[in-house]
Amino acid sequence: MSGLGQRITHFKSILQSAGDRSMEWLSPDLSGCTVCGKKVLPQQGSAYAEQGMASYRLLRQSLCVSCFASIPWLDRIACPVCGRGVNCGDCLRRRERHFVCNRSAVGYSPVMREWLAMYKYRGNERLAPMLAEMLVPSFIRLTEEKLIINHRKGQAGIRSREGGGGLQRVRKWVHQLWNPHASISRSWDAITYVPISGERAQERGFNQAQQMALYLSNRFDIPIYDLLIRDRHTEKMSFKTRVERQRDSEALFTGNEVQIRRLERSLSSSNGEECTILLIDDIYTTGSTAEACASALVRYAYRPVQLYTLTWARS
Amino acid sequence: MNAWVYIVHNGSEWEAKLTLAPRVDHWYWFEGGGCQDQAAVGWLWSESLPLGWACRIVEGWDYRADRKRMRENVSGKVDTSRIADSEEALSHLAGSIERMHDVYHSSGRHAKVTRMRVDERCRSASNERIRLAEYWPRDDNGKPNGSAAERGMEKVAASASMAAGLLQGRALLSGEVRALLEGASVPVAGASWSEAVQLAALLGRVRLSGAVAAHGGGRADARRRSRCLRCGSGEEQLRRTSCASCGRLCAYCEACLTMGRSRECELLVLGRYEASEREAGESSICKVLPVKERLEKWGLSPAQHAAAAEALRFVESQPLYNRGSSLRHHAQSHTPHLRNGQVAGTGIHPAKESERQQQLQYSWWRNWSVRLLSWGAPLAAERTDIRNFLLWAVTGAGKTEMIFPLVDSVISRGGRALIASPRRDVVLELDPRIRRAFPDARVVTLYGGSEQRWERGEITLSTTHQLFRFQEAFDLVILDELDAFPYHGDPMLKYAADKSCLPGAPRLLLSATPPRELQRAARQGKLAHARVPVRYHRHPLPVPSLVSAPTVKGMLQEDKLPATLTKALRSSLSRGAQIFVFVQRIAQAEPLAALLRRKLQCPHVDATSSQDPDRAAKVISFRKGEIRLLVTTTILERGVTIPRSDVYILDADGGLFDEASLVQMAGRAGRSADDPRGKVYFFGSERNQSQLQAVRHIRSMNKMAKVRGYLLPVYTKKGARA
Repeated sequence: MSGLGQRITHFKSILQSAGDRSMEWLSPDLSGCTVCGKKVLPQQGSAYAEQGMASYRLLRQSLCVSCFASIPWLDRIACPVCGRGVNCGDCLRRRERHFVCNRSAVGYSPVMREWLAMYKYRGNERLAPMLAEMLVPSFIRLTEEKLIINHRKGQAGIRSREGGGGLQRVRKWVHQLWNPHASISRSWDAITYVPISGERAQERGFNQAQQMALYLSNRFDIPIYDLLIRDRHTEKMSFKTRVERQRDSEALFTGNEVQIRRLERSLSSSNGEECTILLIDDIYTTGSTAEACASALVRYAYRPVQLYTLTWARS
Repeated sequence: MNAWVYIVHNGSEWEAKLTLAPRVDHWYWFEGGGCQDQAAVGWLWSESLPLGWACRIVEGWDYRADRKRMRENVSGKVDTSRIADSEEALSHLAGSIERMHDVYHSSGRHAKVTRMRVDERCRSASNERIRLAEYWPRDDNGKPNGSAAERGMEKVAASASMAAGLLQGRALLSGEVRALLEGASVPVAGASWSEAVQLAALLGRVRLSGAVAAHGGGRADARRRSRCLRCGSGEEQLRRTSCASCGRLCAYCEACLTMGRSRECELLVLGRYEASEREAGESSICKVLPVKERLEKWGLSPAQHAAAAEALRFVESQPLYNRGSSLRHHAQSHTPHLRNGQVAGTGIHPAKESERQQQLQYSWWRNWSVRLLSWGAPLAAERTDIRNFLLWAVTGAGKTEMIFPLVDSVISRGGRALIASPRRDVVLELDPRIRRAFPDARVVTLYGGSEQRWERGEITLSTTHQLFRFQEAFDLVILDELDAFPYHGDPMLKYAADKSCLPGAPRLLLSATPPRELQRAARQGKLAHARVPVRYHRHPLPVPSLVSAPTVKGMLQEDKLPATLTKALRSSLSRGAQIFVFVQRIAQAEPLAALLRRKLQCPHVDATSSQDPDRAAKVISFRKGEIRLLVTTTILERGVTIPRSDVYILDADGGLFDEASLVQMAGRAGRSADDPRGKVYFFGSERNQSQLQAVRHIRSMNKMAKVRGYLLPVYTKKGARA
């Protein structure tokens, strides 16, 4: 009997790995809470904010009640630059900034630290889709915020693809039916992520930022590009002075020219117009990584770049 | 992680090898680096491959067989004259690499379809790919450089032999190997750890493989049905993700994630156990002194003495593994040991005993030859070569003292002993006792976050989880609390405990309440065993009294305690005993403690459970007597010894309390010689099978103790209790 059971689970695992991976990511996990393995109770009336949002529902399917309740969502934003829940001096002190702003999904509480460690250091990749899904609410908010800002500036965020005749309108309608996130996806030109060094990749086997970016890219149908490269030779920072380190961290990233050219070709609008790029990372601490990436992108890009960063946690 | 593959002709046939550092292999085969029969010719595939592929290519290398098949098909006769033809061997290698590309690129469904056409395509594709191979030996145009390399190689050789010494009996992932070598300050800087390990592998002292791999070799293209070689988990526990380390879709094991990630392209280094230096000591110590005298110094009670003597004879009935010289000798010296075994009289029928010994003997020899052919290869099925011995000792029998002579016997012969316990707190408690008993031995204590992680000693104390990092490492394995969580019912930990034993090593299973199947095996004579039916103080076990009472739920709802319970508790309190109250549910512990506090008008009542962060502190203050009554769950059923204590089990008819757990909880009472007659009560609304079985179990142990004369004279005269 147990032999048959084994064979069934074996067959299931074959099916699972053969199937489309993105489907596997989205399918509800029947083996209990992704984090603690406890049984996930069928959903009762929700006591959480923003009940209507699909991602909260998805998360509650893969997390048990107590794990879901322990997520310190960053709903209220005090600092418009870094997305922190309290006012911060860091952002005021920073003289030049190459990115527009940062938003984070959660505060970096000890529980969140534990979750990230489980994923990033222990390598439990089963957590990947769940953690990436946690980015979605703040991603949607960031997009809305961006549209409002751009509207205020007098340049509609979705300018080039707006308007047109009847046929265009039908096409737009069909497109919207096909892709409910159309307005969100149309307002971004590209998603990219903070790269990790080759040595880290060897050791860890995956780039957490890349996996999150890939998830968002699949979910919202936004093209993903690996626009940045982390230079290996700037690895050993511990022997350097503060000034050297700062200079080094600025030069930590270079642009990936092939991918940047690809991005340039894909943009329909005429030369010289801004392109909006979303940069994904796992943690935002002082913003120096985001700044380094942003300055590298600005240096290498063919046109002005409007870079927003979305991070999983804000410490 | 990536590795390289090469082929060398060793004079008679082509061999495929995998390497982490081609430089070392070149030196080994062609520059006289310690290899007796130097190879004449070789080809290195200069493109590195994912480690998992490399392993499969090497394992599935069947060039000779393949050629034979081919030739026979053509002419019906094997042509051996052209076997050294390197071009064909190389194209065979290219073919198998091509096949890897093919299998791994196409996912699932496609694999079957394309496999049909692989062979033809391989032929054509490989011809193009052959230019990737590099001819060995390289031209000797840079002589001065060569000698410099030579000097570098001496360093590599030195660190390889040190590394091999340190890695003995270990099963470590590459990161752990690095930590181990760095911790021991082996002169390997950064990248060259792989050179040291590679050389050790060439010398046959360590074995390299992917941490997740196909079991039992198998076909190179059989990609599915892999297994985690570290924890033994099968396909169900594996998860395939795209891997940044090898650049392919590669599987990792989810079951043993907490011990570091084991994956297809991750290196697993298995170190071979080498016989200790102190081989000479073997015959001298254990032959000169008879068992009786050696047991004397440990101060054991008669029952402990008899069981320990039996176990000791069992352990010493065979020499330690790898001590080749004494193997033949052992066959003759076998019979006298058997006689001794009968004299000790443990209840095993003599005829059965000898039959069992023969069985053991036979299986041991059979497996030994198998192991010789493929040492270190992890076994898919359960190991049959381990000699198990069940030490069935009642709670409070003094198990720890009984294992001292066994450990002593093994380490005095130059062997290594392991004492594994499922629980970390038990390991920590055992540590000082072992160190006191063996002041001259090197004791290593392993648990999650242990400082001694990479040390190697004669005695290893470990949690069962840490055993994943060992493979065929110990001459004696002692498994404590065999039936306890999490060991019991976890096939992964069982696998870990199995693989830590050396071939043919004795393994002692300790338990007060062995699982049913072991009890049966012991009764039928299939499992060697000794029973210790009495506590070290030679008083009988307290027999539980069964009392009818409402459920805890009812008590809490009505806010009332039954009169029988209150009366018994009052008398326990007045005689100055510490009181354990066991309940089924964590949620009931706190409310019940509050109720008891009120009704008994005693402020020293507290509750604890597995979810209580101050559990350790509460147990300490309970031990001190600051808390008089502790309400708890099965979490305290084992390992806690409180001198003067009474035990109350509420809802004893509940489903969570089985016979074993009732016996264990009852075993908390009367543990010290000062107060051997602690009280045990089973309160329940009905008498069920578990309660009756538990009572029967305790009575039978007491009866056996009486029959064998282990009890104090007081009891045997009157025949009072039990």
